[in-house]
Amino acid sequence: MHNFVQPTLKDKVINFKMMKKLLILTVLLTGFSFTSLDANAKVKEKSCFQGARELVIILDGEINIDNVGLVNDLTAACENGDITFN
Amino acid sequence: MKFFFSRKIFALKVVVLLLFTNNSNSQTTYKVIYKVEPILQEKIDDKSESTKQIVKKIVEYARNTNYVLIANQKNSIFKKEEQLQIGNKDRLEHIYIKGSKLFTSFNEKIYTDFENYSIIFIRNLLDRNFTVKRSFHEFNWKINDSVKTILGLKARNAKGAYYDPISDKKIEVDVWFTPSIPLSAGPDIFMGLPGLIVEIHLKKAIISVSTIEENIETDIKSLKSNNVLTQEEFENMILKLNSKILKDFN
Repeated sequence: MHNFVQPTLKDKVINFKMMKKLLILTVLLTGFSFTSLDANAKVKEKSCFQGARELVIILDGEINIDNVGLVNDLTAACENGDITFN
Repeated sequence: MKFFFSRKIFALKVVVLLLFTNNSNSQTTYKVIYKVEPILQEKIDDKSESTKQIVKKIVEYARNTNYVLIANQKNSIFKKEEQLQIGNKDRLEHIYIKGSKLFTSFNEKIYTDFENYSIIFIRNLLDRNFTVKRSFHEFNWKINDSVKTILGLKARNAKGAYYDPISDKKIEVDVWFTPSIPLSAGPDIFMGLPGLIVEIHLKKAIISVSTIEENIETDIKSLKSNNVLTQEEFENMILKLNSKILKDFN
């Protein structure tokens, strides 16, 4: 025979509070993981080539045969870990 | 034909003006140093800190780069001023130097023969030097009444434009020249006015004189190369390079 003890009103309040805390924690963690995913996505979004291209346009206004060499050099330096654009 | 004729008349006017301005200076050779103030083509406020730092470094390199013009009434040579080098340049330094050159888009070197109305320049494209010989660029200078003082010299304003085959655009130029120095020279391809060009306003930079030395003892030697292209050959090569390379970058 099991000996069940009926929860008191105090126990029910404590349980409810615990559940509420757990729910808030779950919501927060879910939200945080989405934010982190978004941030990673943004980092991936700007590749070394895109960063290099963007920088050359800041300097020169457009990409032409006068500056494609610099786009290549900046891309290589970024891929080598010498510089970053993020 | 009319275009050619008007160009010749303008050149004649420049020569006559130079002859009457100061005949005693006819054989004087000058050494002129130009400095560069870069103009960014886009705002960097919303860019990442890393990008801002690289841009700042390139701007700093451009500001520290001087260009030297050695000129008299017969010929001139224009190039980047040699700098003392301590140790080997690292990979990033090469990048900063390359980036700093974009503001002016100057040729590596340019020799001008004022008597034969021709220039020989060395242009670096895709890490390769090309030597090109051609006649003066046609700026169609319009001299106006604006006057200002630059380095204590009275300077006059002129506006012109020329065709740039690399960007395939007509480039407008705003220059200040000083008739008190009777040379029709200036930085890079910019020349053909009745006085030394002392300041140029381009889209990507303002180039201005920082020092002028008179009576320099030096020989101005022409540029030599085994393979000299004509302007037509150079422009055809640019067209081919543009169609081959740029489709992947734009």
